[in-house]
Amino acid sequence: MLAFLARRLAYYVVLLLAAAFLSYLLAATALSPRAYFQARLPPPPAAQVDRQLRAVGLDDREPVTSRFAGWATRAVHGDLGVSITGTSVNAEFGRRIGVSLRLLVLGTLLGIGAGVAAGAWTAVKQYRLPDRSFTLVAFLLLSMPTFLIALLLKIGALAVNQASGRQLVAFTGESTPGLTGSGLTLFADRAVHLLLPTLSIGLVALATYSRYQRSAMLDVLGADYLRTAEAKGLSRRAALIRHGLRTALIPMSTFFSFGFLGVLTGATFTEKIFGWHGMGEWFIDSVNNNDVNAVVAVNLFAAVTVLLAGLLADVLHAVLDPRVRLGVRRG
Amino acid sequence: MVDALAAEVVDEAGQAPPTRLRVMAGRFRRDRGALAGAVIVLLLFVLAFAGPYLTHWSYDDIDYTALRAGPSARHWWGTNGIGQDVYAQTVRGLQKSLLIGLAVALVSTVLAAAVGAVAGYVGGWTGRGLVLVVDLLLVFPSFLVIAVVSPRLRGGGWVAFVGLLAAFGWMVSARVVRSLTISLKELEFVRAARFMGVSAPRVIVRHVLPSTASFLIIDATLAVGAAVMTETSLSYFGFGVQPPDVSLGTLIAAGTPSAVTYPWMFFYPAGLLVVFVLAVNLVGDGLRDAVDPRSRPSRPPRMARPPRQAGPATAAGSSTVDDDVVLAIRDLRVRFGDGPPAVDGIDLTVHRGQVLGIVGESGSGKSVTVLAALGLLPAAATVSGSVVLGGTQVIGAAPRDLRRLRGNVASVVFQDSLSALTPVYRIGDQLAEAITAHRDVSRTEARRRAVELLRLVGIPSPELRARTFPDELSGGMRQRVMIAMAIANDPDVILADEPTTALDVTVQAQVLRVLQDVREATGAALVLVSHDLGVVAGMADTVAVMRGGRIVEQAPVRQLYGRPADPYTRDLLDAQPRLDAFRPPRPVATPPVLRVTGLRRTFGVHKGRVFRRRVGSVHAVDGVDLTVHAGQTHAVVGESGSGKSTTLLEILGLRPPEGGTIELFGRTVSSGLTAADQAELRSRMQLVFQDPFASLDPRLPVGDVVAEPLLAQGRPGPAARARVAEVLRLVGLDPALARRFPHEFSGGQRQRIAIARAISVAPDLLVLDEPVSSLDVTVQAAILALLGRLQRDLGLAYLFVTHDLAVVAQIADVVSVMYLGRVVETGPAALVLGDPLHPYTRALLSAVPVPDPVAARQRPPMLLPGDPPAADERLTGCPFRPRCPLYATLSPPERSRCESTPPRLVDRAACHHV
Repeated sequence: MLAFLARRLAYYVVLLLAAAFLSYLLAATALSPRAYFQARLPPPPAAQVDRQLRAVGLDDREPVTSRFAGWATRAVHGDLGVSITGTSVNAEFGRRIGVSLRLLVLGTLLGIGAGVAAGAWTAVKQYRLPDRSFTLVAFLLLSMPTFLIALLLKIGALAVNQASGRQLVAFTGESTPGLTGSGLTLFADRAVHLLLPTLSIGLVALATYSRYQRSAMLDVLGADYLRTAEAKGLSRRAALIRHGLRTALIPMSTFFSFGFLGVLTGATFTEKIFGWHGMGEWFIDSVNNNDVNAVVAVNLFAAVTVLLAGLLADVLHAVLDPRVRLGVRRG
Repeated sequence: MVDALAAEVVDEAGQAPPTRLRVMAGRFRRDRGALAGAVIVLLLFVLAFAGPYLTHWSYDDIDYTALRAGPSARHWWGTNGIGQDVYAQTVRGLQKSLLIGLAVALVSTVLAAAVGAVAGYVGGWTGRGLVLVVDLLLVFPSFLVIAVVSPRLRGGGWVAFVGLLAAFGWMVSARVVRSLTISLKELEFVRAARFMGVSAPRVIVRHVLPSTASFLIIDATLAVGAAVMTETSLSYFGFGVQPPDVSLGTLIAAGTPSAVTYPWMFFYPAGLLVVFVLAVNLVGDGLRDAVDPRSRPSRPPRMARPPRQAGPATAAGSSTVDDDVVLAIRDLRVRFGDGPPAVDGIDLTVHRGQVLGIVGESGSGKSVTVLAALGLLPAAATVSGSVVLGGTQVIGAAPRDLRRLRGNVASVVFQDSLSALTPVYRIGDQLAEAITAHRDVSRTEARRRAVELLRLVGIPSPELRARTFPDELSGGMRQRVMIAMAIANDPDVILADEPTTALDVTVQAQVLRVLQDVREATGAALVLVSHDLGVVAGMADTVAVMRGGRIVEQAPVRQLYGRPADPYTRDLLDAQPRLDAFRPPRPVATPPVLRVTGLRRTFGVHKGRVFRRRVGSVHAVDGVDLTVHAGQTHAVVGESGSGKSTTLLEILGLRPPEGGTIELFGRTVSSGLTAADQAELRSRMQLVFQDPFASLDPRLPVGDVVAEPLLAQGRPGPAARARVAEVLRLVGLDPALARRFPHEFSGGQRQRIAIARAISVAPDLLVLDEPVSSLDVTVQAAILALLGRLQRDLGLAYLFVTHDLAVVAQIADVVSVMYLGRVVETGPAALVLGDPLHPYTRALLSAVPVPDPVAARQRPPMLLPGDPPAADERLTGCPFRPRCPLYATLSPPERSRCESTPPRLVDRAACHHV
C-alpha cells in the first residue's frame, strides 16, 4: 500500500518537473517582458530596458534554456524569482495562496458533499420527479461557464441589495476594508463575502459530481449484493446506503482528480469577478503584464494542486476499495 | 426448443429486421429532453447562419442616433454603448462561437480516437509514452496555457485559436478510448478474428473502431458544448476572439458592466450561450441513454413500493396452513411490465425438513419463484397469488414484516457468490450483519458467532478468514460463506438458487455436501433450484420440473427420474449427457493432424500499476503432449486453472511455443512460417469459442460474421456469399437469416452461427473451447448432435476442451485429463472414463452428479480436499499430492517418491502408484 503510494508520488514528481520546464518554456517564449518595459512612458532607452530585463532574469537575448537553468537553480533553493515590477514572487505567492485555498477547499468540499448526496438520491429515484427536476438544474449549471454563474450571482446580489436598500450580500473582496469590531463581527463580514464566491465554485462542483455519483450509483443499484443485503433482512434504505452507496463511492475518487482541474480553472474566473486577490487573479494580471516569473509560479501552483488532488484520489481509492489495497487481482 | 426458436425467427424473416441503429433511434426519439435539445440546436444553427440576412444592420454598423437603446422595431434586441445593433452582433457572435465549437470538437475527437486507439492497441512502450503525454497535458491547466499562448497567435486568426483549443481538449477522451480499446482487444469476437487470420489493421477498422464509435459520437457532441464554453470564457477575458470580431464571450464581456441598467446587452448573448450548451448537453445525454441499453426507462426502479398485488390476498394463517408446512405457494403469477408471464400460476408446498428440487432451463421461471417467495422481486413485477412463509402472507406484506421473514424464517443462497457479496466489507462483518439484523446482540457477540458459522461450514482457520474480503476467497469458499449466512438465524427453509453452478465439479461436490450437512444440523427445509438434473437427483425428496413459468411435473424423486410422466421431463432426462453412455470406440488409423509435444507456457505474475515488476511465474502449461488424428474427437478435460484453455490458445496462436513443439498437418510451427504458410494453416484450422454471445461481433450481420474467415483467406464476394448460404444450411439455419444481426438469435442459434463461421473455409481441424457450456441441456444436446453429424459428413477432427466429463463421454474418441498444466491421464474415452487409473480422474468422475437418485445415493462422491490450486507455486514431485486420496494412504517411503519425482505419463496415467 505504502509502496504503491510511493510509486505514484514518484510518477507525479516526474510529471511535475516536466510541467515546470514546459511552463517556463511556454511563458518565456510566448510572453514578452521587453514589451512591458518598452511600453513605459516616456520610452526608456534600450540599454535601460536590457538592464531591467537582466535584473528580473528575463533577458531575451539569452537562450531560453539558460534562462530556465537560472530560474530552476533559484527555484530549487526556494526562490521563485522577481516579478516584473521588481517585487518578490515568493512574497506575492505567500499572500495569495491562502486566499485561493480558502475559496477552493471550502467550495469543493461543499460541492462534493452535496453532489454525492444528490447523485445517490436521484439515482434511486431514477426517471421520477426528483431525478428529472434535479437533472434539469444540474444540466443548467453545467451549461454555464463559471464566469457566467459568477456574473449571474453578482447581478442577483446587486438586485437584492438595491431592493432592500442595504448591503446584504457582499461581492467584492474578502472582507470590508477598514471594518472594525469584535471577532464575531469580522467573522460574519468574512462569511458574507465568502458566500457568493463559494457558491459559484460549489454549484459547479455540485452539478458535476452529482452526475458522476448518479451514474456510479445506477451501476450498483442492480447489483446482486444489494439483493443479498435485503435477503438478510436489512431494510431497503440500509441496504442502499451501507452496501450500495458505499461501493458506488469508489469510482468517485477517480472523478475527483479529473474534476479538480475544472474547479481550479473555474476559480480563476471566480476570483477575478469577485475581486479576490488570489492566484487566479494574479495569473490573469500577470499574463496581461507579460510577467513571466509570476505566470510560471501560478502554473506551478496549479500543477502541484492538481497532482495533490491526484494523490489524494489515489489514497481515497485505496481507502475505499480493499481490492486495491490488497492488490488482489481477479481472473 | 431450438427448432421452435428457429421457426419463430424464420416467421419474422419477411419483416425488416430491427437493427441496433433503429432501436437506438427509437429510444432517442422517446427521450423528450433529447428531442427538444436537438430541435433547439437546429434552430440556433438556423439563427446563426440565416439570422444575419434578416436585418439590414451589420454587426459592425454604428447607429449614432441610438445609443444604448432598448429593443424596438428598429433594433430588435436594442443597441449597445456605441450604437451597434445587439441582434446583429449576437447572431454574428453565435455564428463564430458555433463554428469554433464544431471545429474544436471535430479535431479533438479525431485526435483522441487516433491516440487512444494506438495507445490501447499497440500498448507497450508506445502506449506508456502516450499515456505520459496525456497525463502531462492534464497537469497543465489547459485554460492557463491557452491564455498565455493565444494572444501570440493573433496573426493566425481563429483557425490557430481552434487548433490551440483542440490541442488541449482531447486528453480525457483519449484516455477513455485507450481503456475501451484495451478491453475490446480481449473480447472474444476480436480474439476470434485474430485467430481466424484477419490482419491487425483490419481488426481495428472492422471490429475495434466501430465499437468505440458510439462513445466518440457522444463525446464529440458534448465536446461541442464544452468548446463553446471554453471559447466564451477565454474571449470574456480577452484571450480568445479579438476585436473587431465578436463572439458570445466578447459580447457578454462588453455587456457585463451594464447588465443591470441595460440588460439586453448582457442577457441576449448570455441567454443564447446557456440555451445552446444546454441543448447540446441534452442531446449528448440522450445519445448516451440511447446507446446504453442499461439506461432504458423500462429498467425497473428498484427502490419501491411493495409489488402490486393483482389478486385478493389469501389471509395469513388461514385454516389451510398447518404447522408442518413452512412454505406454501398457491397460484403464483409474476409478470414484468407487459411481457409474457415469467411465472404462470404455480403451486408448491414445502414441508418442515423437506428437500424440494426445482429443475428447469433458462427462462423457466425457477429463479423468479425463489425471489417471489421472499418478496425480493423488483417493483416493476406484478405479482398475484399467495405465498405463505412461516404463517405470513408475503405478497403485499409491509416492508417491516418482510424484513422479519428474510434471513430469519427463510434465507437464500445465490448463485454467483462473487457478485452476491459486497466487495468492500470483510466477510466476517457481512455475516455478523445477518445476525444483528434479527437479533439484539452486541457486535462482538455477532462477530464471535460469525466465526463459529464459518467453522460450521468447513472453512479452515475461520478467525483469519473472517477478516478477509470476498475477492480473496475462492469460489467454493465464498459459496460456503453464503451458506453460513443463510443458516445464521436458524431458518425454517433455505432457498438455494443454482448454488453450485459456476463451480468446478470437485468443489461442487464439497459445497453440496456442506449444504446437506447444515440442513441436517439445522433441520431446515431446502428448496434446491438447479438446471442440472444430476445435482437435484442426489439431494431432493420431491422434484418439480418447470418450463415457461409453469410446473409441468411434480413428483417424488424416484418416480420422476424413473417413470417421468411428462414428455418434457423425458426430453430433459434424455438430453442430459451421461457418464456411462460412451461413444463406441473407433479405430485410430488416420494420420495425425495435430501433434503437441512437451508444450510449455509460463506467465509472469506482476504487481504494481505504473512500474510493474514480476513477482512470480504461473506455469500454466507445464509439458503437455497431445495428438489429434484426422476425423477424430480429442477431448481435453480439466478444472479451472488446469491449463486446458491456455493449451488451446497456444495452438491457435501459430507462434513458436515457449517450450516444446506444435506440429500442424505435418508442419512444425516455427518462426520460419511465412504469412502465406500461416494463412494456409489457418484455413485448415478453425475455432469455436464458449460464449456465443461474446464471440460474434454484434455490429455485423450474420452473413458477414460467417464470411469473416473467407475474407481473411482472400476469397472474393459472390463466391463467399454462396458459401455462407451453404454452411448456414449445413448447421440447420435458413440462409435468408444472413441479413439478421447476432442479437436476434438465441444462444443455441448463435453457437450454430459460430460453427458455420468455423466450417466456412472447409477446415480439417476444429478447435472448440467449451462450446456447449453456456447452453441449456436440450440445446446442448442439439449442438452436440450437430457437431457429430458435421464430423461424419465432413471428416472433421475436433480438439474439444471442456470441464464436463459427461459431455466427454458422449462425443470423445480420446480424452486427456489435465491438472495444473499437465496431462495426468490420457487414452481412449471408454477406457479413461470406464476404468480410470489416476486418482484425480477417479475423484473427478465420482464428483460428477448422476441424474439417477438411486445411484447418486448409493455412491457418495469421493471428496477431494481443498480447491483446485492456483498454479503460481510449483511443487516438487507430483503436483496433485496435496489433494491426492491415494497419497494419504501411502507409507512414508512410497510418499517420498511422490514428493521428489514428478510422475511421467506412461501407459495412460501419470502416477507412481497405479
